[in-house]
Amino acid sequence: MKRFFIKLALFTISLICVYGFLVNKLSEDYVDIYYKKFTQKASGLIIGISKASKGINPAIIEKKLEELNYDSPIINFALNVNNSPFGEVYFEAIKKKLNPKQNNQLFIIAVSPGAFAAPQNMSPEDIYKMDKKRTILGKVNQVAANPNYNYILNTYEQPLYNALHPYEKWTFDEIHDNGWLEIVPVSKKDTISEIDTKFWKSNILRLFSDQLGFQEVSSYRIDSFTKILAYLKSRGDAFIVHIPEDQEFYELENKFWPTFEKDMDSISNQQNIPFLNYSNRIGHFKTYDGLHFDSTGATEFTKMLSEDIYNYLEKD
Amino acid sequence: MLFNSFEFLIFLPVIVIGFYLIRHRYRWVWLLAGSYFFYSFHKPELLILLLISTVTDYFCGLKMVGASHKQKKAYLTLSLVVNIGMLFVFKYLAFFTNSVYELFGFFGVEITPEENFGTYSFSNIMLPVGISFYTFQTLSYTIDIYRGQIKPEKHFGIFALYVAFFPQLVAGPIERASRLIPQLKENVKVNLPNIKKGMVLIAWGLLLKVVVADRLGIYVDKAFANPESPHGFSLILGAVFFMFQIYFDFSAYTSIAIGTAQTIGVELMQNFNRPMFALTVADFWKRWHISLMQWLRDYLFFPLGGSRGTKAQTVRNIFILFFIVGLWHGASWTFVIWGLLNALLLVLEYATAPTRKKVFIAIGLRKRTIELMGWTFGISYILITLVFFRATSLDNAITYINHMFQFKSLHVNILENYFELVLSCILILLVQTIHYFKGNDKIYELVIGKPKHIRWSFYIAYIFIIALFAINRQNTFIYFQF
Repeated sequence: MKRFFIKLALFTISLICVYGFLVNKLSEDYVDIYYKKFTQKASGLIIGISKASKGINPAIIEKKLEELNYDSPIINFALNVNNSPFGEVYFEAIKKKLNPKQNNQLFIIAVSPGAFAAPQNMSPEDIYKMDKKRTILGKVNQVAANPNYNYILNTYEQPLYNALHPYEKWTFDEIHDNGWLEIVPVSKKDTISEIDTKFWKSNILRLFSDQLGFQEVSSYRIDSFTKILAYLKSRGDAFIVHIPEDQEFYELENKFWPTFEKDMDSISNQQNIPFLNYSNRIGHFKTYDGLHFDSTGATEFTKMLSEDIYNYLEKD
Repeated sequence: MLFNSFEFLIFLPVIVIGFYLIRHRYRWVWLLAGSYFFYSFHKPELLILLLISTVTDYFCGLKMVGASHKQKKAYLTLSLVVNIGMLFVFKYLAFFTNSVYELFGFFGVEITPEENFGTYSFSNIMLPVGISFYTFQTLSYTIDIYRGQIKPEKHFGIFALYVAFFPQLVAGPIERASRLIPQLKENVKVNLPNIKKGMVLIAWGLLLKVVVADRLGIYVDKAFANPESPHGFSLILGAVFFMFQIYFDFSAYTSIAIGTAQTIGVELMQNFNRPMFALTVADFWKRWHISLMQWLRDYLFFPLGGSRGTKAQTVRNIFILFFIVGLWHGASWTFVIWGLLNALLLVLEYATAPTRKKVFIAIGLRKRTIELMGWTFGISYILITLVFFRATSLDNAITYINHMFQFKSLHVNILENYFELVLSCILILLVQTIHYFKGNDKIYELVIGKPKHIRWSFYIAYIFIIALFAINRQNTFIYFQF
């Protein structure tokens, strides 16, 4: 019996060691498109959903606002509509993510109706539980560690052999250390064609339309959003931003929440936080699927955004 | 609690070690508490239904002793009403009400649930995990007592353990009281070879689940999410992968269940006997989900008359049997159609058997050739019927099958990852080869009793396979939903 237990212990320890080695190896290279958003403390944040994740490059903002002496680094901590909708889970993660000792931070809060959506008739407690269970932010306890084993253990769903050879990721995306998810339409291996763009656009429109059909604007998410705004304002300067998209998506969002811009304006006034609404810039910036900016679109948009923020602060 | 979870890795050794440390007369308490803990781990409220079923059948079973035929019938009816009533409410009510609404709608009468029940909809009713399994298990107990085949169990704790025995509570095998209760009473001594066999079965089941079934599931999910795909071959491969996914997934669960029970000296029945090597559809159903099919044979098919009546009666009985098989699996028309399609081929096999035999003899086909033809046809038919099992609606199933045969492109790599595709195919072949030689029940012979160097090679290979190739997603077992 004693020998049996020794063998069993040896087997278990060996399994844990091999597993640990692979997890460690994985953490040294590419994990997934969000991993790098979870590997450092932030002294400024960009929050929102995928439009913000792909559309705002913190490096451009830092450079433009250099003379205003904001704390750095600013991290793009926006994920996507399924993983970072406004709510207490996102709020908790933001609090953990921020460097506690600094109070001259810059925050860009990107808003779109999808970030306030929740299944119809769901109670706030259930929405919280759902966010906790299903979102990356809910699963991960450690949001600023490098290497972030907690992130890998709780969210990584691929086989670990990926740690031993270069991961066959989507060739068009590149996650930067500052959390910006850059979409490069022409990569070394491939190019995003017009057919791809059309297919993605129709697909994403269908998905959006389906999803919004059984969802509603959640007062719980709006409440959390205002709490997040109040908290961020106490840590520095905050800006609410509405990133533009193609006309079809704009119409779909308007259908879902017809008074969205008016309501955001009203929250912005209540909280005394500027609302930079770019919905009049539909079609100005290059998207790869009608909704998300590619590298060029994101760079142009971020330049314009940082210019506007700079002008606002100068005027102030 | 899931077998493929970290919690179970802690739970199992605690239960097994505790079981052998506790004196025999108190072991049922330990196992019953463990079983209730296991079942209610995520949703404690699930215990209520299990307890209602347990108390009802314990009471009905005892009351049938020495009762008149009329009274016995009344107690059996009570047991049937309570158990099937709960199953109906929690599993089928939404399906039946929606079907009625649709029927009215077909005749132009629009009724919506809101008009009749305010804002409440039956679709909100939660399906308790494993209800179909434990309902059938407890029903067999009262029916067997009614038939005089077994005596009721007087010890409430042992009976409650029979209903809730954690290794097979959630997804079977559906055990009979005559087999399981005596084993639960037995004073089991520590038997290291038995424990080792159990552990090998558990390890095999885990590997089958997290390395093979879950891997196939990724391709299957993608294929079935796009039934209108122009890539016919990818849809065919999706259907093939689903056939193996559901088999490996359920077989994995059964292996872990049998292995777990074996570690505490309980031998559960086998649920599979190499079904993918079945030569006909009838043969397939003798090898697939054996405990359910035997249950339905004994408590439904035979009482209906089985195949002892006229041909027409046999055909009717087969259709009723497979209508229930379909409905047992899920409250949806897709499952009903799946069941009925299987019945259809069984009836055709049954009706054409003499003619086919004559034709094969006349054209001089060899036995091997006939078997190969039977296997190819049978497995292809099962594969197509399983599209109904997996599809989310009848429309999707029909679209899927329709597009399977539109060969507009040769594209099969819908995951954009050739390595995973090739790996999936290799794993299917590997597991099927092992099943061919060792069956579903003798997997431990690969390791147990082999020389030391072979055993340790297996252990090391196992560690690396699990660590490198497991899909790190905690997927529930497919049969949990039934």
